[in-house]
Amino acid sequence: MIVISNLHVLVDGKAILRGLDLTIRPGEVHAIMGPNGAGKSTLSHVLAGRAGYEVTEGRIDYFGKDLLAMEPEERAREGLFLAFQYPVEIPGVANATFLKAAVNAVRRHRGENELDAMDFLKAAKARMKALKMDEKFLQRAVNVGFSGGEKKRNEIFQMAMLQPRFAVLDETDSGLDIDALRIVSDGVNGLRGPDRAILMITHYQRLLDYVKPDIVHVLAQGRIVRSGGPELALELEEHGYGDIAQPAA
Amino acid sequence: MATSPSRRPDAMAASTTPIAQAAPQVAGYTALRSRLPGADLPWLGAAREGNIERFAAAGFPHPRLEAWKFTRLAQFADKAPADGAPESAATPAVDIIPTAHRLVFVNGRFREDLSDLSRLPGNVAVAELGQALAGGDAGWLEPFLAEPFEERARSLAALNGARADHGVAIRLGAGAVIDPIHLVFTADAGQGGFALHPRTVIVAEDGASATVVTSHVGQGDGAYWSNPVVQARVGAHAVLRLYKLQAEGAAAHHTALTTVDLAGHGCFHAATLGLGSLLARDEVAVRLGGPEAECRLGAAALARGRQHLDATWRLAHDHPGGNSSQLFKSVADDHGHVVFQGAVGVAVDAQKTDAQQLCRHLLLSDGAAADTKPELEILADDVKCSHGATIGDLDPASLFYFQARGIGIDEARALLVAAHLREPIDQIEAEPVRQFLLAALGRALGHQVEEPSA
Repeated sequence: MIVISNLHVLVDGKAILRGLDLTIRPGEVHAIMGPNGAGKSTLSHVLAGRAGYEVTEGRIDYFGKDLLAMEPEERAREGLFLAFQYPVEIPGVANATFLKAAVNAVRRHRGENELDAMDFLKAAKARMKALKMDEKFLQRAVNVGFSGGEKKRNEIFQMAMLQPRFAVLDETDSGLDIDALRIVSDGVNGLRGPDRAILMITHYQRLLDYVKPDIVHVLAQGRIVRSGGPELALELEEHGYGDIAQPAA
Repeated sequence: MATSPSRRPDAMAASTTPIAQAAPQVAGYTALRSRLPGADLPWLGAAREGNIERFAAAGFPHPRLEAWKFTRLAQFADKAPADGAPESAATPAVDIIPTAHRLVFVNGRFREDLSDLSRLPGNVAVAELGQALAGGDAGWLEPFLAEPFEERARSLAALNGARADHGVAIRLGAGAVIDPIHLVFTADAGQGGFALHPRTVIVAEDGASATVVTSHVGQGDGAYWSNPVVQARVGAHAVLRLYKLQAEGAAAHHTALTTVDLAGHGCFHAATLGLGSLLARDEVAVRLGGPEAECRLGAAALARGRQHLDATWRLAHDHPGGNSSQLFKSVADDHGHVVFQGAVGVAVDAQKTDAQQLCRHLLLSDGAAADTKPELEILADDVKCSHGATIGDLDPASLFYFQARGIGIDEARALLVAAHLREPIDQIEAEPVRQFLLAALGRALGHQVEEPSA
């Protein structure tokens, strides 16, 4: 279970998250929607442990551990996965090298044997096939020269390889055409399971047509202002964020 | 653009005069003179005498010479070894390219037992220098071995011109092919105190194609000096690929000059991996001496501890339609210091020249330093010339991306450093050579640098 309590975060001295509360249980898929500037990406970065975000109050309990006390790589090894809104290009590092290092870092942490090159390739190729990715992607530099859709698909591929306990998808639907959206959604749906929690951060309702959330939250002015079932997303699509984004008094 | 001041104090004041510094070298030459390769050839004797006089007059290069502004030899010059290397019975563990023709030298002596020239293709002559000069047809070597190194900034090449105590002569007839040949210069450093002055001459006649790899490898911590000179002439439509591993011993000084003369439509591709030496200076001078010639220079340098690694390149576009690219990548850690000087000259007649230069330094510690100096002198008016230089630390966004996937910060840094340095090596087309240099880089970084490249 992931329990975020009263989270306050400053970015460059400015309060972005102001008392955010959120509980996500294994097996659940949550969606966070909200207008631009509400703090959606800040939440994803704070969860992953990116530098430059100052937590002034609150805590995040991650399966009984204090998430905020952990280094970013420890969080990842403990099963937290952030699908980046803007995946980083790494010239000179092949996708295969990068992903093998990641998979083996997680396996070492769990006390499992490292995968050798052969086993890794076998596993990688199977996952790529499911995501309709060309095997040549393994030899290419991480995200270099990838289209927007290829980058997002690469994030989902990494997620499928790492099999996280808690996946955070930050605007994964942005920049995707309808075919890519379907493939990415299939990848996310394939990951749904009783032991896994998924948090989707999105500006639009579109992704939610393909990945049905259990609970939808509205993030505005640094707090969750409303929560509900999938019908809440439809309501937002129809009426916009205008009224709903006003925090309840 | 001198982007970061050198931290080294000006040592000129503390050193002795150029003439006093040169004296032990002159004495060292005089003692060895009668035993040098081709000692019985009058033209060569005269050339050696001329070059030792030039060196004696100029002394070691000093920082008032523009080309030596960032690399100071004053302290080294006071104690530079002048003796020949002691014979070594050791059979060093030498990293080889399995498929390559091979000449191995240990402490300046040709080691036939470690070499393999049994499968040389037709129309290709390869010999160690002494043998090449002993034959009846050494005349083709004269323009190279008799070259007077007049420039004061090249006084160390003049000293090599006098000593030339071992080396290799490679000659490809028109249309001949050799791929690859590996020249391995190994130093068994021992107590140090010796100097090696290898001289290599490569001639590729019209339409020939050669891939030549040189390794300069030192074993042990003795302070020795390696001062190689390579001269190459590339004929019309010929290609020379020249790759180099500089992995001299930790206390060694390595001062190298490579000069290349390209005929029309000739190609020269070079890549160097600089890992060893306390101080290394690697100067490459290429003249595009005919129309539509092509030159591609690449190098990667890794300076750690108190290493000082200098790459100085000079390209002369003397004819129209020439194409050149330069790519220099470096990493300096601890108190390492990297220098890149890239000079491009475009003559008034060299219209339609395309010359690109890119230099990227990574500084990984507060004590590390980099100096970078592009010099473009363009006299023609219809050309495309560009240069770029960056100096910086590893990108925090890249490091976070690794961490967010569970990869620890040390492993992330190592992967990013390897990625930075491998780019010039990845441009090598010959797979066995690429593998050889990537393996050397991996050993230096303490982890495997994997193919496939990216």
